[in-house]
Amino acid sequence: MITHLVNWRFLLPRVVIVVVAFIVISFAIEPVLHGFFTKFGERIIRAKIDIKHVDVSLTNADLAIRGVQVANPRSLDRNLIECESATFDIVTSSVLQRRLRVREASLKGVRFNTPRTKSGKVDLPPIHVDIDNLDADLSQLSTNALRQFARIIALDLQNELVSVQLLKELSARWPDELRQLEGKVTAYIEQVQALSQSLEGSLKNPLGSAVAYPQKLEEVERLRREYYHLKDELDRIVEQAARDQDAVAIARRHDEGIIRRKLALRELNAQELSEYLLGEELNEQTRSMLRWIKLARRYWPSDVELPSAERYSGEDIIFPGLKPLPCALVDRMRLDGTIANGNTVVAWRGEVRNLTTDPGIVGQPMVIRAETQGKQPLLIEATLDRTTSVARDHVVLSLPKLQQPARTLGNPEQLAVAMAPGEMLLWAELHLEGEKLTGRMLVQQKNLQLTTRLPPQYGERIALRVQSAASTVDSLQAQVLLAGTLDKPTWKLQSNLGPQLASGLTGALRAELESRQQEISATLDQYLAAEQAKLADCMQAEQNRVTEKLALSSQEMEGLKRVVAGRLKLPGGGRLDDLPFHNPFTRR
Amino acid sequence: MLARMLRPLLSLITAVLEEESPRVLAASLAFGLVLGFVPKDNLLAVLLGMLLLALRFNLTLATTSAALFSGVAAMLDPVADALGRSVLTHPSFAPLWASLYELPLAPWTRFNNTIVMGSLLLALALVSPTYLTSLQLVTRYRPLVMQWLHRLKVDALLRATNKAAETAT
Repeated sequence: MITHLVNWRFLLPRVVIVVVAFIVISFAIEPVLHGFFTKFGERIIRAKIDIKHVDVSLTNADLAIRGVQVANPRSLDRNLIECESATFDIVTSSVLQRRLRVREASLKGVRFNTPRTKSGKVDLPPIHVDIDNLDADLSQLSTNALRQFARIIALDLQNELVSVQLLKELSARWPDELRQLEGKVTAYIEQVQALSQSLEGSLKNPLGSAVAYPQKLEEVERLRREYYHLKDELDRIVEQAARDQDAVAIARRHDEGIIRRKLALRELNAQELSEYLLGEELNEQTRSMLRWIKLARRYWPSDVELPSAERYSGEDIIFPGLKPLPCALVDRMRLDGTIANGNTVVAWRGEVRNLTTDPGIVGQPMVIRAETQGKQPLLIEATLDRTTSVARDHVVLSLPKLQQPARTLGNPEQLAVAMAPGEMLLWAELHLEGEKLTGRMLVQQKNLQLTTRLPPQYGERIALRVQSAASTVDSLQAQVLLAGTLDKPTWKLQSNLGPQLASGLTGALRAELESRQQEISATLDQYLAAEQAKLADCMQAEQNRVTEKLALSSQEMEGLKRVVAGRLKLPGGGRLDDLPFHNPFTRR
Repeated sequence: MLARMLRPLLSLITAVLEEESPRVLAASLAFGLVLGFVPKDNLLAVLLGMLLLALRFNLTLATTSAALFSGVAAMLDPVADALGRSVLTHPSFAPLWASLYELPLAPWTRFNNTIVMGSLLLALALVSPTYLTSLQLVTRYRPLVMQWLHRLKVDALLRATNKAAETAT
């Protein structure tokens, strides 16, 4: 049956076809793998992946990839990562077992954030990896005490001071009252003159005068009373004005309290000040670190939505007694490359262990270690544990000699602190268990040189005082404590910068306000003295005029007395006081 | 052009009419069934394909049969899944499967997959009845079909297209 079925005429050409097919496959595997890596990678990254060349050796089971560029999905004109060459030493027996085990991989010339000539856009929906909640609270950060200080120095106290208001009122009232009194005196003099003329006229008609005399006498009596009334009123005004001067003095003392109260500054909150000055900078560093972790979590282990099979593909049964093997495992991957730090390029090298698609089967967490060489050493150690159902990540970052350029902390519209270039220690430790985040970041900078910047409206004196307070700060230490979740992290900042600056600044600001208090008090005193003197002069002038007029009216009354005395034919020109009846010009 | 387009169909008819023995035709149909049932993303399918090329089967009939039975197999996936699962997880077979799985290249056959195993078993179960049934049918009905095709002058058309194709090549 079988010999009958085997037809060599058919078999030989087909064997040739199979051999040719094998040869074709051995050549085609490279473009096939090239396409697989780019398409699969693009699906994961959601950005363009360019590979120059894929070289596969079927006999040695080696894979080499050259010129890999992975575009940054957040910035399509830059590469997330670029690698000059990658070689993979594959364990052949693992391939026969339908597994991929790489004994050792080596990635050379790894660089980050390099520019791209072509856009990295792919026709796939982007993946958003945002840490936007972290700065929600920071946007509100500001120093309330500084805002309060700004409000204080912009205060117009003139309208708030009682003594000033009172003096203004008195300056308007008393001269006015004196003027009114002067008017009354003038009117009184006119009345006296009129009566005097009337009496002189009546002397020419003795009969008529005898009839009118009692009436005139009543008139004289009324004028006498009015004279004293006017004199009393003048005395009252003068006395009241003197009392009001005392009231101004009392108001002035009350104003002293107002000035002190209005120019009082509450203690600068050290915590607030730390957050205000360092918040933005540390926030950015923390955000950057969390973004990388989130990105790493997004891609490893891959939870990429692979295209679902149209047909149910069954289940692969793992037989009892067999040790399950991971689909893919890279025992050790060596990395080296460069990173750009400003204008300088720094070499770095690293190692990844236990990179696998099935961490649960491998039972070991993936360990990443990378360090830079040179003047600014950087060390990153990360342990990404996916061996259990709860993902655990532990990342330690250490930059013991981070060269910091000159930078400005805070907002120059309120208060900014310029820091001279210096060397900083940055150390961070993050721990993620599931979504729960804990961690801390430490920042330390010694030999600190601070220059404070205040808005010009504060004036030069306060600027000097604040600068003097800041010059005592010679070191910066800050700690950011992280909590919450990776999606909604919360943080707490502790720093010595806030407390150091806060006490100095509070002292400086208070000294400034005290000076201002004294200045305002002195200005008020000067103002009150000047105004009071002006008022006194004005009052004196008005008083003199009124007194003069009253004296004049007194003369007029003397004339009137003479007329009355003439009418009664008193001897020697007559003195009313000598009359046997009540003298109308004597005060009762 | 038309001759080229019709050639596979005519080749199939030629095979049915005169060229191949009934046994070869029946075996090709049965082999196509196996190839059609087994999922194609494994070494088993590749080996079956190589066997198809190596042995004296009618390629046209076998591939046509494979295409047809692939559709049938897709409908029988739940049955294959259940069958494969019961066989693969049966405790008495476990040592056998485990030792087989440890052989080089064996995992590439994906025999540990429920649908691969189930489909293969279904195919193997159906291969014998299919062969015997198709052998009976070919032996009994081929003369009748040939007479019918003669009446329709299909054989003349066949010769003409073959000649045209040979001239073109």
